[in-house]
Amino acid sequence: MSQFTTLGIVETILGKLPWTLLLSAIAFVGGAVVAGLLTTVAILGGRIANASVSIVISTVQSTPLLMLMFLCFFGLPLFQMEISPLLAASCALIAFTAAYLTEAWRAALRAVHVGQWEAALSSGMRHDQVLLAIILPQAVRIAIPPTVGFLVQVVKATALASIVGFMEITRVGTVLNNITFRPFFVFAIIGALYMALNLPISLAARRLERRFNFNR
Amino acid sequence: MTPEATILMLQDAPAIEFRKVCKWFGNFQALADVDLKIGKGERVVICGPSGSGKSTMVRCVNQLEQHQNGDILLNGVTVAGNAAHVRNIRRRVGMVFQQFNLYPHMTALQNCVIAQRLVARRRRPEAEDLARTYLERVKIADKADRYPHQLSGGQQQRVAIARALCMQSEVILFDEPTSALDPEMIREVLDVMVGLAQDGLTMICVTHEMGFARQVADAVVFMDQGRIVEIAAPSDFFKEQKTQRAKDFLAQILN
Repeated sequence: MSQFTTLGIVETILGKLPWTLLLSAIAFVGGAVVAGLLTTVAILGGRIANASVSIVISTVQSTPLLMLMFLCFFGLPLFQMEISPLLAASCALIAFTAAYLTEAWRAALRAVHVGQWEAALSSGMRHDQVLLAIILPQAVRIAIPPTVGFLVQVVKATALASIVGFMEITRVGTVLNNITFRPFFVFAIIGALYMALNLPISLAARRLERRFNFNR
Repeated sequence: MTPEATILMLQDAPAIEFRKVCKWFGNFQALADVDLKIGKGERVVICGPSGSGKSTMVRCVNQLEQHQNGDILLNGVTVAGNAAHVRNIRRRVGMVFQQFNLYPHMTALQNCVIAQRLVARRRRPEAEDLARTYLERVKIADKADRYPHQLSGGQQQRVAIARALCMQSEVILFDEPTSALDPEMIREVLDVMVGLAQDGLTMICVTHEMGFARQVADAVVFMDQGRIVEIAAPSDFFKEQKTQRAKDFLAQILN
């Protein structure tokens, strides 16, 4: 068994950082795409579609992310699907992200004052014209801060992928700890890495919030 | 009937006619047998205590609310119908709201342009020229590139009036246009509205501004509990009210 120097530990952890970033990106982009579809269905699809979306969202949100990971990793193979840790973790995180973002985006669309609908409709615009030209631009401004803020949650949530054996920074930390018995050092570095990733995002979210708060 | 006769009949039709209009919100009757004719170029002021159905009545004209009984006619044509018909009606009826409802992500000019582009299908240069003309008319052309939050309440409401004028509607509905304004801004909005009235615009105006009613209205309609209680010329209405309810109401808002 190889001996790890302090520098070696740091290098090994940094070597897995791309996987944390990749998984975060897959989860966020994939989740945003799914959320976009679900929001569209919920808004345009009528009452039944809206209710169905609500049920899906609350099911996902009331399940611990860890269970979603297990379900994807152990559950999907039952349907004869070959599944890698990356794929399982991606599926679970996409579901997790999509549920939150759908809720946030749908709420943002509803948060646009009803007077905006009335003013636009009373000028003779079609429903879809009102939605695209009047409501959506305002909803996007409302939704940007919580959306960017949620990116922090997604980055942190990728740590749970370690449980299904996906080798990102938390997983490599567990392994390094087992070899070196230096938990404080190993996990302090990993904690610092998460912080380094998330602090700028949090700051950006706060700035965006101030910037887009244009209604009074 | 020949087409000419139809057109003649339509020309003679009132701009707006309410025929036994009824409207319920659940069990609450908001409008009860409302009958009213408003001729072309007439200005009608609707007043009454809150909850008396004034706003509902006006909002039924462009079908922001749907009445359940009776009929509302715009130039002899019923306003109710499928989505396309209602859009066509709305295109011909402008509306100004208590809360202005300007689009906050657009400048004053863009507020005036958007419906011209999407609904009237005007080209951008033409739409912008017209928008500037009407912003000039409400004396706010110098603020064309400002966003609503950069404008005072009175300025916002004048932009909202310009936005309605841009559609060159046959009628404009005003739903308590000065109620959300600070006292010092009410005057500038009323001045604009008086100007429009003198230019012959057909106006239905829900307002408690009795000075405005006295100055420009052809008729004052007093409503209570969903019914039209009195209709009179302003000079008659302010001299003597036929009903106790109207007397009480006027006594309340005039002191």
